[in-house]
Amino acid sequence: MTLFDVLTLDFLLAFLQGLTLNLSTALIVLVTVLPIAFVLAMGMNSRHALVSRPIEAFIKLLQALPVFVVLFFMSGVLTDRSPLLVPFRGNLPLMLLVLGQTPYVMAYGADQFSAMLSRLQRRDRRQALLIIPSIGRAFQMVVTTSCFGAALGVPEAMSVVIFTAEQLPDEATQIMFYAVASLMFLVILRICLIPFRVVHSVFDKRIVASGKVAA
Amino acid sequence: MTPSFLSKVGWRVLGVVWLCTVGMVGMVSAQDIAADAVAALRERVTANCNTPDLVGPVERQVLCDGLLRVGLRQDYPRFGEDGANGPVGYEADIARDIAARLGVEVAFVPVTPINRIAKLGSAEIDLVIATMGHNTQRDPTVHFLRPHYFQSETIVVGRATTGPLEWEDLETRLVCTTVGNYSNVILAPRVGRLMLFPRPQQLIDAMENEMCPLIAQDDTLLIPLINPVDGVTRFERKLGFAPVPWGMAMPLGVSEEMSSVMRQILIEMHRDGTFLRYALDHGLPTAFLTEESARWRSEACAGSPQDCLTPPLDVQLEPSAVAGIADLIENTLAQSLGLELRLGFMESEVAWRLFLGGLGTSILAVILSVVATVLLSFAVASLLVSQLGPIRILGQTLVTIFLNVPTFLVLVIMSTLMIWAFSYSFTTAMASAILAICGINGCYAGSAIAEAHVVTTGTATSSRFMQSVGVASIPLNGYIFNAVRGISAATVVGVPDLVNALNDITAFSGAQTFYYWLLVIFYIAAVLVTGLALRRAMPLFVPGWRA
Repeated sequence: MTLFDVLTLDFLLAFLQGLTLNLSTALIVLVTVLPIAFVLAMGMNSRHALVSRPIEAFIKLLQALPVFVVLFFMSGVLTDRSPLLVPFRGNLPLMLLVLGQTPYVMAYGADQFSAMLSRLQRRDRRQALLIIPSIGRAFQMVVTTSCFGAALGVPEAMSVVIFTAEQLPDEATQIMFYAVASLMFLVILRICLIPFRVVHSVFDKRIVASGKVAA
Repeated sequence: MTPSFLSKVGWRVLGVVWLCTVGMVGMVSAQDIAADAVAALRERVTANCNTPDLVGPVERQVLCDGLLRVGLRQDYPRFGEDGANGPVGYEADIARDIAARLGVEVAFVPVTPINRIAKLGSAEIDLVIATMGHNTQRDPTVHFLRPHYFQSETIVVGRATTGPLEWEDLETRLVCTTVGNYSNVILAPRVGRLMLFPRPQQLIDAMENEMCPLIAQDDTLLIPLINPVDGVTRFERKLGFAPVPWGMAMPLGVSEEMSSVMRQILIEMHRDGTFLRYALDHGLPTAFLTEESARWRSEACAGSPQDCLTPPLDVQLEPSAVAGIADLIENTLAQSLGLELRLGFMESEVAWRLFLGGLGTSILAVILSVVATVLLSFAVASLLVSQLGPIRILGQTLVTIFLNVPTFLVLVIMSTLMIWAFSYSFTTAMASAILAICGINGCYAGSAIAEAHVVTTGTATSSRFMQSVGVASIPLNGYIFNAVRGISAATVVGVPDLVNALNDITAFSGAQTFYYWLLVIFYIAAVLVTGLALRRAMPLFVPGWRA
């Protein structure tokens, strides 16, 4: 089997089908976890040390957790009979990826929102708007780290790449195939960032324009 | 016709010929002994049916009431399944046959692996024939009847299109299996990585869905996979190991007389080829039963049957040097806090060895990841701030690739490159993991140093480059932490680290949650210790280190 035998439309469709799991994981994690992260960030910025210190310690603890170990933990502990599965309509792989990414995104989001709140307190609205590309980077990170699902039996995009590579006869051909897969990921991840950049640019221009009017 | 089909037909024909020729020889004498034993027991028991003190509860139930209540699984294809006229399968046929030889009716009671022993204990059933392995751990809990009526083994199954497999080949391979199998003690230290599933069906699904290239499981569960009904063989047995004898059992305290009668019946069923015939009827492996049939017809076993009974499988693991300490901790926690904790990783030699090996490898990986991230960040920063355009372009290309490709893919690429350039070994696996994880974090950190380079000019005591490192010390510190946390993923390219070791220990001792907490605690501790070490060491090398 050669490189061109595996680079077929079937492979592309399987890859894209797997990618939907990575992308939906990223969307669900951001939509559900970022509001909690925002609340934590408000707590971190509180003037009362009794509130801010424990939350800061909690965030530091979450930051120390390796995503792979959390995913690994979840894959061993969660079962398809888990009551947590109900919101995911019985989709165990999706639940595994979402819950596995939650601690990291919560910590990252709380840090970013905390920085945003500090900038708003300093009335620096342009710098506060940097939260938008930060969320974009979080989206990108969740998509890439959800690829660890392939090591835990989750049928996402990376698992399609690994399975296809195993059918190739030698390491040299596999490396060429991986180069193609890397390019596909690179293009997709760059595309994922575009909406965040556009939104950031639009709001940034508005702030700049309103500043000029005020001046 | 395929060779495998010929081989299957050949075995069946041989089996039938075997039964016809040699079965007849042993039948007469064996049947006489068993029938005489049954008759003698029946005579004694039926005379005392109204005198409970003189008859044991099992004998009274079976021979006085004329009903043998058999616990049978009804969810195990080819052994015990629901049929139109009651249970069907190898074990159902055996149960009916035994009842016929005892001259009583049979009643089937559905059991599961969880409740089969409890149902014997509560006298709901008189006999259990339910895919039960006879091992030293289970032996004292019920009265096992011997000789054994079947033997399973753990087999490694892979795609039929791939070549044959040797044990050495497994050192680099991912093998999927279910949690808690005794055979995982043998498998875990010999494979690259184990992926664990809670149930056998999930394992089969993972193989069919191309998630698992190899799976290891009891051969009786994988028969439908390797001998499918449609005859299209997609998967085949690659290796087999850890044979387990299957025993039927009666409640503890059953009389020696009843036990002896049952033993005679089982010996008779081996001698006259009954077990072999039922196995052939249901398409089960027959190598063990063929061997047993020949053994029980031999003069040695006919003369001294007791010496021919095979012992239960010894599943007692060799205790480790720290097993006593583990017991002490477990007892202290139980008595003082009421906490039931099982330190399985300290109890057996194999688990303790795996744990120490994994811990050592992980500590080494953490140290290497700190050093490599610092060095790679310096290297990438040097490329990015170079005055030569082509070198800067090289640096930018490296950063773009490392930062936009999933970490797992970078790991796999590095591992494949290493195996291609050298060959698989501990060193190449570790080197590929370090290069991948630290390469990614080194690129991030290198970019941060390069950005700081723009706003620095150098001081009288330090060069511009080292001043940039000092300015970028906070992000650099963060990326070193990331590398320490991220190195836990080294297990996916076969590094035998703590993740791998605890996963392996979980595979045969269960208690997943406890081991996963150990992992989490290890990596949190690794991050904290790294933080302390960096705070003390880095200012010695980098002037202006602020993190």
